[in-house]
Amino acid sequence: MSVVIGLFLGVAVAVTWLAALALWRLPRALDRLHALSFLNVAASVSVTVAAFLSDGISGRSLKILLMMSVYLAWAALLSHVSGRAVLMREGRSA
Amino acid sequence: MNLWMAAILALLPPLALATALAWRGRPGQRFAAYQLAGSVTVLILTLLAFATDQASITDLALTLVLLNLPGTMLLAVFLERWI
Repeated sequence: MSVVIGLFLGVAVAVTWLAALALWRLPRALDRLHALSFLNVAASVSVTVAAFLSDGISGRSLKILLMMSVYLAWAALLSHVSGRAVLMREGRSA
Repeated sequence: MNLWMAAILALLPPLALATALAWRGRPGQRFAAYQLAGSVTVLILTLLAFATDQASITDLALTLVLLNLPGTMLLAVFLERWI
């Protein structure tokens, strides 16, 4: 079981590294926000699955499921808010 | 060292990179780096609950998630109008 947990944690870490490198190399702020959305979806799902594999159905894993669900919903909202703010601040070149 | 702690240590360089990116660049780029730092911190706190076997650390991550929405929206308004 620990191999599978390690696999999901490895996916979360790899996705985080990929997103961080994308934020470093991509020139436009809107492209960077897309990389960030990819991180939010992929890493939160991986960590939630790893938590359920480790604990089964427990209070802690259910709390993480709730937290990641709220986080995903808010991340979608915040991506649009951020994109709008960046567009208004920097125009089409953002 | 268990799997969870190894994952936390592996997440520290992206957090440092996010901090460095938030330090320079245009406001929009710095705003994206700030959000990356928040996302990585949520992941680290969640994994820390398993690495230390302290379930209460999950509440820290939950608090950060709950405060992330108003904080980022406020910063977005400032970015849009004044910064």
